Amino acid sequence: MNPDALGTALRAGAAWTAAAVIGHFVIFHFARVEHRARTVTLLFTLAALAALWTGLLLDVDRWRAVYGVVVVGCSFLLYMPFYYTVAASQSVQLVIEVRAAPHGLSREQIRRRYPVQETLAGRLETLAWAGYIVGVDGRFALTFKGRLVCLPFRAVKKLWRLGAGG
Amino acid sequence: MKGLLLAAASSLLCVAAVTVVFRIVDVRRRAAAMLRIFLATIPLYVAAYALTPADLWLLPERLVEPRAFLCGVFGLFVHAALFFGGWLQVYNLAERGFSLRILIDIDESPGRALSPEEEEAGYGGGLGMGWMLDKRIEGLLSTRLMVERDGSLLATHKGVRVARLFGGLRAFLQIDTPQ
Repeated sequence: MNPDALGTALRAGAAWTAAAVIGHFVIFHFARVEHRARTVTLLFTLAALAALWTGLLLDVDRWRAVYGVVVVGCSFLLYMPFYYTVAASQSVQLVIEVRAAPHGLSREQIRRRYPVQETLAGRLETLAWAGYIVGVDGRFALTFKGRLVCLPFRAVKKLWRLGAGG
Repeated sequence: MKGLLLAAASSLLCVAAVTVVFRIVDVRRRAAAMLRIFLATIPLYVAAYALTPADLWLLPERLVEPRAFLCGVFGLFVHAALFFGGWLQVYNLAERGFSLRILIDIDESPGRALSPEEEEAGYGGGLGMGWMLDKRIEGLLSTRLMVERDGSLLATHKGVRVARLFGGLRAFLQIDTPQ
């Protein structure tokens, strides 16, 4: 049995996490990825399996080999919000556009760049494509998957007394 | 295993404290309040780790970690990941999530179905879609990423740095449209 089982498992987890992040950057830089979030999730899943395999290969006992998977899992928890900030944050998009404009942008110019109908139509299309809502006679209703996501967050908003949000 | 168990306990303590504070006090900057509560749980975790036995009175011998310091650091990493990647993201989504707000609006509507026009007018519990953009702009002003001068919004030095960093990352990762 490996005398430094914990250290080996944690190092394996960290190394495979780094591999997943590098893989993400390389793949996204050289290929047009359609399912971006799914691809990142797949990369981290592979990293978790690889961390487990590495641990077992290096004579780490089963319990501690799982710690490597925990490292990858926690890194995934931290990495996804960062990735979504880069990829989808409207605030980040706004800062980039304001910085790119030589004399800045007025609120009116920003509103013209983000027409609410188009923004909403795009997001409804994405939600329908992802299976959270379904269109019937020009109206959108939640699917089972949509309700499954919606209900816990409604409970959190009520529990923490959050405002309307959005 | 001790580090993991104490991390889980600290995380639950953190979210319980957040819940109590949010229910009792009217907090204006909630994310900052959550961060302060999380930071307060770190010395508690360290104290609990230092003062309890390696087996936590219940763990079998095979789960007792001989490298106590490393196990403690590992637990702290897990606690931080559960907060920054877990609870804080739950809050961010509940408070700022665009898609989630649409789902909630549909769920809260009388017929549990909305047309795009109804959603546009009723977004955010009746505030309308225009409010969403204003909220983002106010957020960028309050975090000093932008300033408003003579009716124009301009990026501050901090905003320029953020735009460069995220713009560079988006270009490198070939992300041109938000998903």
